[in-house]
Parts: sequence; C-alpha cells; structure tokens
Amino acid sequence: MYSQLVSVPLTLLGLLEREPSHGYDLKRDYDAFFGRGKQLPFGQVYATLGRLTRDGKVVPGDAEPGDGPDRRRYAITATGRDEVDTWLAEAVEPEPHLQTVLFAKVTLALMLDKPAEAYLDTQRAAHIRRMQELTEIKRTGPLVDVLLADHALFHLEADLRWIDLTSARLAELAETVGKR
Amino acid sequence: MSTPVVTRGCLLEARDIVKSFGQTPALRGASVAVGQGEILAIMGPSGSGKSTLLHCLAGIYEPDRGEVWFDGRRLDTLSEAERTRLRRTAFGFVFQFGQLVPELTAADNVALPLLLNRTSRKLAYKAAGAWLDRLGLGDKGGRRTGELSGGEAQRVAVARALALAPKVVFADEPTGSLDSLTGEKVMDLMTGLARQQGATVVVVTHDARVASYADRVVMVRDGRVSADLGTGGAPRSPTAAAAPVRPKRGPRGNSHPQPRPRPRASHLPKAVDGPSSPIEGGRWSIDRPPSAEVAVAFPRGGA
Repeated sequence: MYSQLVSVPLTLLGLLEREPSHGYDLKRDYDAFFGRGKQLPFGQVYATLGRLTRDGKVVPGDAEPGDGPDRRRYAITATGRDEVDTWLAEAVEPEPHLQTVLFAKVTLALMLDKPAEAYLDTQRAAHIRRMQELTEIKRTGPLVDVLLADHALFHLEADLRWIDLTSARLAELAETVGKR
Repeated sequence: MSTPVVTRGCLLEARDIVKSFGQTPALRGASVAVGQGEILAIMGPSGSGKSTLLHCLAGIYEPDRGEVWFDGRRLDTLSEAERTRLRRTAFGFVFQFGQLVPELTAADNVALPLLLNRTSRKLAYKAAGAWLDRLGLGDKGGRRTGELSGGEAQRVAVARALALAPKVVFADEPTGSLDSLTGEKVMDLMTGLARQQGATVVVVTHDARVASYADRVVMVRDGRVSADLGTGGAPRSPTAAAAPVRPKRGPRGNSHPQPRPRPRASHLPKAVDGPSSPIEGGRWSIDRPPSAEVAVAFPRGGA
C-alpha cells in the first residue's frame, strides 16, 4: 500500500535526469530500486512518458531502426529538471509511513549527485515541527486528543529514527546506487 | 576578540567551539546561541558531541578553542573557582542519573545546594519543601533518594536544579533511564516550571519526543551544530491533516533565537505572587555574586 505514495512520473523523470533512456531502461531501474517486488507494467511506462512528453517535461528522440514500441530514447527538458529539483528539495508531509517516498527521493538524489543529506535535514525539521505541535496539544488538550497525539508522535518518531539511520548510511547507499 | 557581540535576547552562546579528548575530537567548531527564557533541545547521534557542547556551555569543560558567552561575559576564560561559583549560583543541572546523594533524604538533596551557598538551614528546607510539593513529592521529603523510583528521583533532581533560581537549567538525557510516561511527566514538569520561573533550559537528548518539548531544536553532527530544526508553531488538532510543509521556513543555522510565544501551562498550579528571582534583570555579576540568602527561590505559588 505504501508504494502508492511513490510518484511514478516524478521517479521516471528523476531517472531520466541521469541520461536519455529508453522506456525499457527506465522500467528496469525503477523495478530494481523502487519497485519493491512489484514490477511497473510496460504500458504504464509508455503512458507516463506520453504524458510527460505532452507536458513538455521530456522529449522523445528520433525513432531508431528496429521493431517494437521501444525505439525512442527520451530526454529530460529544463522544465522536467526543475520539477525534479523542486520535488527532491521539499519535505514530505510529516504523516506516518512516508518511508517509500522518502526512500525514492534519497535514492534519486544520490544517483543525481544532489544533496541527499540536506533533503533529509529538511524532512527532519518538518517532522520535529509537527512533533512540537503535537506535544503542545498534549500539554493543553483533552485526554482523547492526548491519546491521538501520542499515536502520531510514536509514528513520527519511528520515521525520524529511520531518517537518522538513513543519514548514517548515505555513503553505503550511494555505493549501492552506484554511478552509471 | 574581546568585544561582546551579544545578540539581543541572547543569554548563552557558544562560538566556534573546538574540544578534543586526547586525540579524539569531540567538537570541531560548534556554535549555538540560546535566547533568554528559551527552551533549547540539542539532538544528535551518540558520539556527535552534543553532551560535550552542553558541558562547554555550562562551564564544566574548558574548550580548546572558541568562546562561551554567558549574560554578556566570557565564561570560558574564568578561573575554575569563578566557574564553580557560577555553576552553583546561576546554573541548575539535571543528569540521567547519579546526581543525588542516595543516603540523604529528598529534602536534604534539594536543600544541599542552597546550604552550600550559605543559605540558612531554615530557609533552605522551607524552599526544598515547597519545591518538592511543586513536583508532586510533598509526601516524599523524608525518604532517602535511594529508595525512590527512577521517576521520583528525577523529579527530586528537577526540584534541586530549580530551587536555586538558576538562570539556566542544563539537562543531559534527563529521561534517559525512564519509561515513556514517566519521562514525559518529568519533561512536562521541568519545562513547565522553568517557564514559570523564567529560566532558560538547554536539554541534550537523542529522543525526538523529549526534544519536542523545546521551543527550538538543533542537531549536532560530527562536532558541529548542523541544522536548526523545529521552531514550533501553532498547534493543530492531532486528527487534522498535515498542513503544507514550508521547507525553507526560517534561516538555517539561525543565531538569533526567537522563542515562540509561550502558551500558558494551564495544567500546572496557578502561579501567585512570590519572591521573584534575585538574579533577574542583570543583577548577577561575576565580581559581585548574589548574596547566599537572597539566592533562594521559592516556587511561585509554592511558599
């Protein structure tokens, strides 16, 4: 259920920022890094690339000789790059269960040599602010609110621990993600 | 540098602190400023240098390089005797454990620092009793602290730290040995009472839930203060969806702390007029320490 949180268009766009790629390459890398055992159907890859082309975020190259639908390399545009940058740098809403989307962003940031550590700090700050708000509610609110705030606080704390651990493992993760 | 450039409202500041233990560097240029009356949490992984930073701010460690300013004065260049006097009169401490004398009663423990400051026995025990009351330990004053539960012992430690009317309370993992609910109660009392007394609090913790009691949270990493995290905000309902996140809110590495407005600690007993802190309003000075008698603080509404 969490994988629904990962934006397929933004992730494919991020993968394209490395270099122009065929749909097949994108699907393979998406499945390897972000699929979590669930493959991205080819149909969705091409439909997404179609929409990205329509919105001016990618441009298809010339058709290459051969058979099959995958005869074009897609390249990211300046608009597409801007969108990836904005997405990577902004904090995810501090609600529980953001691991998958944050994982996707951190992995892409490392692939693209962008400041993953800074993005994690941004997320940390967003989480801490939300936790301060919830603690304030606990200081003054009725018991029902206190219990709900407790629940949210424990989940946000778990997220934060995961963020800390990811922070500590960035070098390792960068190696795994590898430079292509 | 000899001119104090004290940020408006800033009470305590570490500037570019370097501190090593033997060959091991603990701090590599850490800077942080704490506002008057602010509750600041210092977070960071084990070995990040967060406790060392607290000890430098409190004048317990002498930094190898860098400066510590307190109330407009250099702290790190004071003599050991002067720093000791300062720690006894202007600072309160709450540590994870081992800070109370187990053979003495709770009341003895709270009165002890007051007696060391040559407060009269009568006044010291009166203040101790009032503070123990405030922390819900009114009936435990005669118990030896070795016989108290962990949470009760930490509340005695908080009472002892606050009884001196400190300008700053330093707390190092104050809930580290407590379960969630007990730890929360200690944090709630410590921050709530410190606010009522107008004391500044610096709390070191690795626990984000503890840190969320603070007005502002900074992160220490590899011996530097690497990020200024939460600076509070208006409470939202726990059931409300998260508001859009503003990632670039506030400058990073902010050295101008601006404590958020304090909501009233309405769950705490209402404060009534009592003796105000004698070291408020810049009357404290290194050359002229407050007289021992007047340094006793009665909790507002307690005595």
